[in-house]
Amino acid sequence: MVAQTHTQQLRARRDRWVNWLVVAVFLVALVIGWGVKSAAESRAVRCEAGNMVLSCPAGWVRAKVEPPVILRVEERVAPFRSAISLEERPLPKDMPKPLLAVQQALTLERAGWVAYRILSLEEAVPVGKRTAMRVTFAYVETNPNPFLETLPVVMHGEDYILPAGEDKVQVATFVAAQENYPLVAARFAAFLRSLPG
Amino acid sequence: MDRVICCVCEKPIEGESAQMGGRTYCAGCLAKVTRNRAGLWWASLLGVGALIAFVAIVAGIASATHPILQGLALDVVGAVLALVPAAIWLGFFYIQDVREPEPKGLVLSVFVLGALLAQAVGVPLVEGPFRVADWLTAGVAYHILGAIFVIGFTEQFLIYAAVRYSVYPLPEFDERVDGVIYGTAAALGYATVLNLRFVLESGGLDLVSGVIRIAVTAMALASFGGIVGYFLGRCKFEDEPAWWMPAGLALAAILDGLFVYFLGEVTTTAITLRGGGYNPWPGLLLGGGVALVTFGVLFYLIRRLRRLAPQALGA
Repeated sequence: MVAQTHTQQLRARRDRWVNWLVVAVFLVALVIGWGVKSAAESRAVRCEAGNMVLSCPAGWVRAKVEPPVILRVEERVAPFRSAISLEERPLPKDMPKPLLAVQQALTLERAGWVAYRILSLEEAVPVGKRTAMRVTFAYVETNPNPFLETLPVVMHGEDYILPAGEDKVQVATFVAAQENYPLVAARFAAFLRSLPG
Repeated sequence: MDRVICCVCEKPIEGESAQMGGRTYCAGCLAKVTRNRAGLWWASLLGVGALIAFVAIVAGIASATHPILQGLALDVVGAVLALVPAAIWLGFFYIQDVREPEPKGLVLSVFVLGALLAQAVGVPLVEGPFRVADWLTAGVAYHILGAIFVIGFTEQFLIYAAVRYSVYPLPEFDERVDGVIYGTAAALGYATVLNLRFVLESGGLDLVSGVIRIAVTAMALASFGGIVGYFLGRCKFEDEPAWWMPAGLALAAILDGLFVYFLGEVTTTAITLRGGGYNPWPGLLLGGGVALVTFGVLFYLIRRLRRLAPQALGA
């Protein structure tokens, strides 16, 4: 009788072990799944802009651009597109704070955007070996198609204004619908990292 | 001297004892544990056939009458359609399961538990932190691995949990084949929630495509839930090694993930000027085929184990 009870105890202990093992296998699977997700989301392709080779989000579409914009890639799966663009402008050398002058010029150019507001401004943010000015902003975008039944959406964006050599400044801009912003911000970070120092 | 005690009824064995899977059984319990339930297999076979017939009937009616369903009417019709697969299987099972029937309340409870776990954990996990829809189709490798490790493992673990933490320790779970019954019931609960969400969130269901998708989801999940249940059933009544149940879960999850991938492949068509992009009919064939093959294999395995039982009794 005692032997049987001992066997049953062993069996119960084994059942608990098996149970925890199944939970562990499930958790390991989820960790692997998270890795697959991260890898899929950070997929990038090489794209050329000027004489630079940059890392652009895979699956995004390259749009036609005109100076000062040298590159623009868009995610075209939503009515309000996430986009990354890169501009090259002359550096206003005669200004005491040339990067701030570029930022003010950008603000004036965007005066026509609905409810354009600057949310924050940091004057010295490291980007690789360079120091950039970082500006975050928001505005409201409405789809230009009047037949499309969509509400206007709040767009969230950020500019990185970087000196590029003696006489140029680069402006890397990222915009996304507020709800998508955290999801695609990592792709912009990868793009920024690919900018040559 | 120790008396030999049956591992199920825990009573001393007076007559012949049997060794199976490292455990000692009395003749009565061995017969019960190894019993095959014809009702389960008939319900599964007839269920698949009835489901395909149901899809054909709905498709026929839809193409003959071109019903214009909108708003509440569409939601109600869609919700009813989403419940049909589970109702068919449970209905056939109850009709077939006449000799020593499985407690109806327990089968229904596990079905509801599967549905609750899907709604409370499964769907929020897959659509929330993992946001699978955003990246699953980024490439073939991502599609297969994501479908296995996120969708497959989540669904199959929750189906396992619905059985393991409810009916598994109860005395009513007294046959190996009970694992398949309860696994299938939990999986149908899970599938019903997926189907209800699909109907309510699609906002406008194409009747034919919708009913096919509903049938395919139910058949596939029921099959893979049956696999998890088979492993659970053997785990309860045999001294299987510690890796047995994790291996069963992994097998069901891999098959589930591969099914998700191949379903996407066979239902996606080329887009032409005349339309295209999605053809659900190959998906129905795939779902029906997977269900028939899976339940066929499970039937064979259970029957083979039953055939081995008399040999165990002589041991």
